[in-house]
Amino acid sequence: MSVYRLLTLVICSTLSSLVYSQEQLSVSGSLDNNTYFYLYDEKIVPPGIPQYERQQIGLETWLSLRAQIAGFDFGMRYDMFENSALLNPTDSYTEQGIGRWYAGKKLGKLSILGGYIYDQIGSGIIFRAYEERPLLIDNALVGLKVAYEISPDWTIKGIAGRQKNLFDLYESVLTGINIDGFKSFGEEGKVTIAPGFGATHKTLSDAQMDALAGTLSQYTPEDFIDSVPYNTVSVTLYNTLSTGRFSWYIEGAYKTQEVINDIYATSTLWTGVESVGKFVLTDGYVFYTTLSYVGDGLGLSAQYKRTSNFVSRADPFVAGNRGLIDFLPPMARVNTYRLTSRYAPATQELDEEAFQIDARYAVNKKLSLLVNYARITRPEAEENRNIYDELYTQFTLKKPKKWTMIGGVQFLRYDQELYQGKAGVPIVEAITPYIDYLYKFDQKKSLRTEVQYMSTEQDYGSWLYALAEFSISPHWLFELSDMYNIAPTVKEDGKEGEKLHYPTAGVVYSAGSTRYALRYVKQVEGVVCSGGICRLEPAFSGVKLNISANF
Amino acid sequence: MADQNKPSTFLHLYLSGVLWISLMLGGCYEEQRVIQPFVPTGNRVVLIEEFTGKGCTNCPKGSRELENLLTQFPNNLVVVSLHAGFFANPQFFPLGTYDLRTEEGEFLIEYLSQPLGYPSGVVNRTQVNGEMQLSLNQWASAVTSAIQTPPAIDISIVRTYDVQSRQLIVTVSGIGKEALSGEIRLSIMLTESGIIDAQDVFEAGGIVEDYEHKHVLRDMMTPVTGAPVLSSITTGQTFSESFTKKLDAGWEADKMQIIAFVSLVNGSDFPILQAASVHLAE
Repeated sequence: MSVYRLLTLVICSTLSSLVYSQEQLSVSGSLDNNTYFYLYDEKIVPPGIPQYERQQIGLETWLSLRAQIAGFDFGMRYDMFENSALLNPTDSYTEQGIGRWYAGKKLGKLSILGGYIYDQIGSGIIFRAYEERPLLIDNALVGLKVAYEISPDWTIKGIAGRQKNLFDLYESVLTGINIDGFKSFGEEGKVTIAPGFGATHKTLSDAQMDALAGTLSQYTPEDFIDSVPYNTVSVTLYNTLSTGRFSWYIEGAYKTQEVINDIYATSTLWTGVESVGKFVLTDGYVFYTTLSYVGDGLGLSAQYKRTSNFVSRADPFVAGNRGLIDFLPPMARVNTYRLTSRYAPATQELDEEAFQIDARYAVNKKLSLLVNYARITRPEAEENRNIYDELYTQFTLKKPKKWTMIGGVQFLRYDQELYQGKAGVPIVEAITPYIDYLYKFDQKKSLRTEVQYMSTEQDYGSWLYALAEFSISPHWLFELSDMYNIAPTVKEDGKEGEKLHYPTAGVVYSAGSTRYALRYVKQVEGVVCSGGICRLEPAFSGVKLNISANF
Repeated sequence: MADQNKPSTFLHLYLSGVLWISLMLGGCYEEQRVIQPFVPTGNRVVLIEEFTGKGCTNCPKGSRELENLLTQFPNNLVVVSLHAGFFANPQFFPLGTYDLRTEEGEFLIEYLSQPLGYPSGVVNRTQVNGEMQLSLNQWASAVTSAIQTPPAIDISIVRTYDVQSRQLIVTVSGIGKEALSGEIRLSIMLTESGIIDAQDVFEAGGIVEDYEHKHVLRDMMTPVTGAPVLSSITTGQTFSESFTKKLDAGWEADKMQIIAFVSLVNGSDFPILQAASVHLAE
């Protein structure tokens, strides 16, 4: 009898006996499906992409099921990637299988969870196992989590396992501990603290170390590393202090020496020439703090972060979005409008110093204002030092139950060479005014329109974007939009780029917790970011169908 | 009651934290892997098939790494640069004069799997941690590992090139050093260096018009997945195969190399057992 059959038998027997024990079984689930019908358009889609050349249809699906009974918690997720462009924008990825399973039980103050675990320590700086489907990030820790409630306000948890790598596992082993607490002071508890401590320990496998040693053994004397630790420890200490209208979060994390891939370091080759990028042996740290004030219609927050060599991966050779053990908080505003979100900065794990200030003020019930400023630098870099500046302004004007108008201007400075790795391209400087107007005809029908204009002389040049969304509550939404390259930049051959339209037309139908969206889309190449993690989103031409359901 | 529990709570936390940190930090500094410079011995010759493109801004870094490894392993490494895939497509990157792609290169990028990023390389057509395509910082490691295994087959190349007719005859002979089951296939590639054409170079801040392209695959004298020479091989068993090709008028024979390699094909596995190379012109 195979292990899987035995496991299935054990789970079924357990469930059967639990069902017969007359405890109430609760079963729930969800479906998330994206299907793409590819229609080649030579003006916007580069040649040689298999989905357009021959495959025609691609899809990604996540089907989750969860069962709870008698304090037990079981879950499973089936993942499908068929001709998917998520892994590699210029290729297709096809694989399917069990993407996640878990089983857990709470025993008084002790809770146990085994399988594929999503969790984090503090703000995630030393450890965060999470899923971000649009970026194909699924960093579940496959192993065991045990948590114990020491008191109502204090919890200690331990984790152990290996990180998920698509349908496989990375070879390194990760263990960790986390203590979270809460304490209030004063008679009315006006001052509270929520301190925490976390530590992780990573061990490279013999195969990973052999591979690393193989590469390091070829280094010239200038770059040579004598010895490499098998183990890396990361520790973090954090606290949230709340008093009245103020809240202050502070976190400091340190990682012991390990070999990391420094993509900006100068290396000396055996040929005598210099190149860029090599493994270096170094420790790393992150300092992160945020202070906020809320009261009398005013909301203020200030954030600061300093990162140095905090590369934390499940395998020293992986790069990009793969094998991330940690999560470094992004330091720029998460914009939602099409053009204001076009140039989003990816978090820099080797060298980054950033601050962000955000101020919101409600003048009255009808008018509120927002100003946000973010600045990101690389203080240790010789080139590409000041990499991101953004000043974002917004007003919201409302006539209750009738209309809402949101508008503002974004001023942006974005180092495209660094963030997108495009050689020699200039800093993108863009000014983007935008306006969003929602008009409610009655309780069911409403029309939302957006107009945005990005004025820039870099990259593709200036853009005009317009959108109209007609909604018939609670079921229907019709949308029509166009992104128009109204003033393209002049190319290297001296010719002006073509003024292209990227239209989208779609209909969305919602019924309860089920949502169907069908869109015809032409989409320009861009960068998609979530939480400071970014990937190149290739141009798209075709039809997208999205089905999401909870049951 | 709550107050009575507090000392116990903090004691628990303190002891747990101290114990865990002591265990981890204690273990952390004890276990080190000492790195020794690797000096190759033996006659194993390894092949790197590098996938590159004129529109790939980081690919010159790959080219530098190939030269770096060739300097270090002059007798144990042969390389070929295949301009193939997205960044080599002149429709999307209309750079310079030449289209350096070949039909064989476009086939091999699918056959060996599409890279996740460029430059990317395949070392001896053997997977490392489940990946066939390796980023450039993995090449040295994979080469070092492969060199340490003696070749299962020894091969040698004899070529005859007629300058007037540009006719090339290549004979590859081999002898089994151990018994192997599986089809033995022979591949012969022709590469050219010193091709001056445009290349996007990150360090140069854009397009370099007079970039020197090296080890560029020009053609193959065998079928792209290799010519079957034996259905299996025993120790001491020999083979010899000859192939003929008339060189294209645009190729400079004195800058060309002949690369031969034998693969062991078993289903979807096709590792390279041994490689060899000689200059095309004597």
